[in-house]
Amino acid sequence: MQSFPCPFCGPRPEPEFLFVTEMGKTRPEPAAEVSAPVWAAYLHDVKNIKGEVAEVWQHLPCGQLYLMRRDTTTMAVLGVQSFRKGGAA
Amino acid sequence: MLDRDWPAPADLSAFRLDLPGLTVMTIDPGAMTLVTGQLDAALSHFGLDQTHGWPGTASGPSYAIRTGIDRALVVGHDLAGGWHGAFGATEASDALTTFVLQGPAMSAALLRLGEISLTRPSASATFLFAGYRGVLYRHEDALRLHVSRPLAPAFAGHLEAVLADMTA
Amino acid sequence: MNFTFDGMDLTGRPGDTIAAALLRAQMRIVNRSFKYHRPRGLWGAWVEEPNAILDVTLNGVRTPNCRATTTPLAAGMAIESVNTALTARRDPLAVLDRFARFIPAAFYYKTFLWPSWHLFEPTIRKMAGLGRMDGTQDFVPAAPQRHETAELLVIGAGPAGLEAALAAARAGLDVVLVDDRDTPGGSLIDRAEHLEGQSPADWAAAMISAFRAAGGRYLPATTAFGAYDHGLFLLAQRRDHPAAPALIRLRADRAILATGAIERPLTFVDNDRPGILSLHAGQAYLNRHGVLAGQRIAILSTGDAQTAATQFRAAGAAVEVIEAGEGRAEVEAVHWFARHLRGLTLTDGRRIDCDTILASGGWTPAVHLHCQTGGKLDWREDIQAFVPRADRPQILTIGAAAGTFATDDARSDALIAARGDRPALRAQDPVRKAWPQLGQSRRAWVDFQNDVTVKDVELAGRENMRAVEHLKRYTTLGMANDQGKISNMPGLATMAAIRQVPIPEIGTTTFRPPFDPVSLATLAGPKREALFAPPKRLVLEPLHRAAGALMREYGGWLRPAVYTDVEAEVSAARDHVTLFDGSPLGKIDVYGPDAARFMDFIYYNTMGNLKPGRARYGFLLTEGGIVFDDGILFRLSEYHFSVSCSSSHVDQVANLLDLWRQDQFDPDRVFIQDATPHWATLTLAGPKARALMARLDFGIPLDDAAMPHLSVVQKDGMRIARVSFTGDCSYEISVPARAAAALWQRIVTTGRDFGLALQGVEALAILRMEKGLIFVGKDTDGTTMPHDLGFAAPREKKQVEFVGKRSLFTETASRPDRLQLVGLACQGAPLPVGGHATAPGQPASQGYVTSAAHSPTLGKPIALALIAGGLGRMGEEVEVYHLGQRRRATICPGCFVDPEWERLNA
Repeated sequence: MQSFPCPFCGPRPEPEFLFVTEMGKTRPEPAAEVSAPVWAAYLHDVKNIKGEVAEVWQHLPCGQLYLMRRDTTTMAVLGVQSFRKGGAA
Repeated sequence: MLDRDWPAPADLSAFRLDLPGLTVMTIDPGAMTLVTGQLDAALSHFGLDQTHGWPGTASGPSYAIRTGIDRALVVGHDLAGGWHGAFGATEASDALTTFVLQGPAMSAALLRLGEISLTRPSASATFLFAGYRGVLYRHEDALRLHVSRPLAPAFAGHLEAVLADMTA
Repeated sequence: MNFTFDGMDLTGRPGDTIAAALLRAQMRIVNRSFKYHRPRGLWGAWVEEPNAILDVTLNGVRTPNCRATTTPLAAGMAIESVNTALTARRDPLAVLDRFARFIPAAFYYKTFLWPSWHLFEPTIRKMAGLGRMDGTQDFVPAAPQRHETAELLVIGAGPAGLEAALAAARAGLDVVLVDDRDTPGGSLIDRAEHLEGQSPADWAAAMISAFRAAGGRYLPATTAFGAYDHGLFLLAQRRDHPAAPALIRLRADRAILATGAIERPLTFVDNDRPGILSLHAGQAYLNRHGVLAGQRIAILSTGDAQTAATQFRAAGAAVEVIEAGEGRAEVEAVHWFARHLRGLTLTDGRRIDCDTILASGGWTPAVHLHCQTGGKLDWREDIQAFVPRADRPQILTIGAAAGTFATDDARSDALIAARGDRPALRAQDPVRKAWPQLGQSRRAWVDFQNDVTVKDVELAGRENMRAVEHLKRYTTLGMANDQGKISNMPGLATMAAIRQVPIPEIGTTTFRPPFDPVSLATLAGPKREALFAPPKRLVLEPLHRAAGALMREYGGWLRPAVYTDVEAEVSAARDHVTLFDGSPLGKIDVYGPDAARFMDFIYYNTMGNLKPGRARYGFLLTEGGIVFDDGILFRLSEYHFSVSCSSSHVDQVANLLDLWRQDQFDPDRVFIQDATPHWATLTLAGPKARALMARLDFGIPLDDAAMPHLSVVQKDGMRIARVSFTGDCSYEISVPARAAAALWQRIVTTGRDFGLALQGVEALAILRMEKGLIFVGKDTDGTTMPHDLGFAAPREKKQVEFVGKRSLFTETASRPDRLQLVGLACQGAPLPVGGHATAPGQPASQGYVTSAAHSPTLGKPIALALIAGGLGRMGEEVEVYHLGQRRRATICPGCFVDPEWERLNA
């Protein structure tokens, strides 16, 4: 059970968090101009980097979506950043 | 599992645990409203000047607890549900069951609920204890814990189970 | 203290472990080995013990598979050996040892295969396993759990751990010290090693007093069994047998591991005979429990055994010390006769008579916790062992666990580590190697518990299972519940000799928690039985029960399944009016200036143009275009919507809305709040519903103009909506939960004149089925898109972007043979749900039945199904296959009752 920091709430145990996506996935729009391979990549492709990653996580109790940088080999948390004004306490 | 017989739950208004250094019971804290939006506007509507996080210093019958960046639980006031120009109000007087924990063993009790400590502050007073969502804060010399009413009977059983080994 | 072992009455002393008491009573044979049923005795004195796994019954409670060396003796215990047909002393299955060459490692891949493995499997499975459970005991009391924090966690209260803990506490750190023994001192106590002129017990007790005085917390009888990420350690705190240990989840900023080392056996022919123990265990039994392992002791050691020999002689034993290892004589044979060890013969011809052999092949540092979080190991040629690489400042290892065996050196290193610095490497005098010999004609044991011999490792080598993970899994070496504590190193060394490479090139397998077996009750904690997945409760549950309802779980809620009779309730809903508790239905508030635009993005259907006071049925899709939830959306005002989603999905939908709001929209212009638990919702449905509503007189007009189907009114703190889940004219009255009971009673009383009946969830399912109204997840699966359900208009016409839109136009989404929801008509009994539809006489599945029941309204069976291209195949016949039976059915529209939907406006 890891301990992750939420920018608003501080350090909390892992079960309070939801992994949302790898950072950098922009939703392709509008649908009529999106090719099938581009849409498939958005839905299914993940880089799954070994090492330093930037990820979007949600802290379930307060609901905030935010950026967390981690190292997937050492499990170290490298930093967090809120996407919102007033999102960091 | 789905064919399981469930006995009727006990009446929670009479719930009480007496443990060494700790009592737990339910109270009715009065009207409650959940607000979301521009919290300053919501607070001034209720005549309140701050929200409390964890551990917080709430007191009296009327106060606001911060539950998210733009969310709060207002206790002691109600307001018709809907959009009020800068914030939305959701009626919650019957949404939450309120437990009160009191006594010198409150910190030990928290360690049985989760990784929670009075010395580790949090801007939001919401927690996930073993799958139960709760709003937890200090009110005068006690702790108040709100959980969703439909899950309150199960949570009362959970409290009883996790606090059972508390020693003085 | 009186106890029994295999039916024999024996006596032990307070403070004895079961093993010490058995040894004191001269029970040489305590068990039978796993495969060959060879007699086995004690080897060790603590967690490293591989043989003495026993079933213990105390006060009527039977606990299987207790380790005798770590279980304290209690008066009245009835102890039984395991894995024997009779007793440890006499086991008819010992005859298996004669057939050893037919059951080597991995025999089950090669033998007992013809004519069929299943012929032999039941017998072999019955013979596998160790202890026996008591079938009448189905409840194990819960073990308590709690969290703790510390700035420094010190694991091990031997000399190194005690020094480190005390120094850190005196320096002002918040320190927790854990040790798996009841009393501190560790190996000092085993060896009766005096320190600073004091007995080890006195010295350790003084250290603990000072530690506590400095504010330290000491947890004895507590095993740190797992090290996890971010400084989390799991501790099992022993309680009185048979209670399972309490679990402590301790998060520490730093940890110091002073976990000691485990003595290695010597590998020679028949080294598994009872009476052969580890030298350190021999000392531990003497110095902790006052028990001599034997009267005529032969010590075989690669190290210095003079101190130990002196202690045994002082206690009255005759002792002969023999140097073992490289350059010394090997054991030629062990003499075993009439269930007793008689002596041994060495390769230089010497024959030594003895009743006990105490063997030491060196020491293996206990590196488990260091490795569990990814710590690496370095090979030390001087001590022939793996030691932790000091690569992380948060976890330091000191003392014997780091390969530093001298007590004074360990204590100095402890002070360095307490400051947070890494102790310097200390080279030792090279030890005498004593690794197993290859090519022996008779068996020498490597893993006692799983009965793995050197020959088995050689077999693995010949069969090309030469990588360390293959060696482990092929031979099962290190896989028993002692997890290779004494067998891993001899096994690695044997494979290194076979491959003719240095031992570090073989490497080790992955260390995983737990270090020591841990009871499932300890890990489970309070969430079991009724607390495991408790359903949510309705505020009206007492009234439902009083009305005779059968309460069952639906979508995470405990709800009335049926009050009287399902078909009668269905008929009442079609002929008169029913009252139904719809409280679980979600009510998620969406507010703000961008709320309308947000609803258009979230829903498949166009929602932004809903007028205040109106409602619309719609679908929530995943980005893959799959139907995730269906439900009604209410617009309560210009900037206020209420999402009424499925009762089983409320938390997920609320969270999904919050995610999209933050990701795709300006979170300062749209807001989400789950309002569900505040409300109770009472639903009236049926041709007399409107008349009953008029009689109840809520003060609102009920005509179609003022309140059309799919509209909502807010009045006096209530929300009254006209929506229908049954196809009949229907109203949902939502009130704060505390007002529900009074409203329910008023409706029941007033409803008598209208033939009102109470209606449960089972009847609702049939009413919906009659109208072709789906349950997401029952009538839809992981591929179902809204146009498969007949809702094609938004896909064709909705211009704005919404969740999942692009996925609705992929090649797969556009295929004509997609599974589409249709009805199936048949004769006789209802069709089997899950039965697959095929063209008559053809084998390939074309879809399957999703719902089926007898319709009381129509007096015939109805069914819904997902059929390939079904919407274009009306009138076609299919066969429905299920468990060897084939039924005929005809594809028809899914709405069986009132296909014109006229009953909605009754």
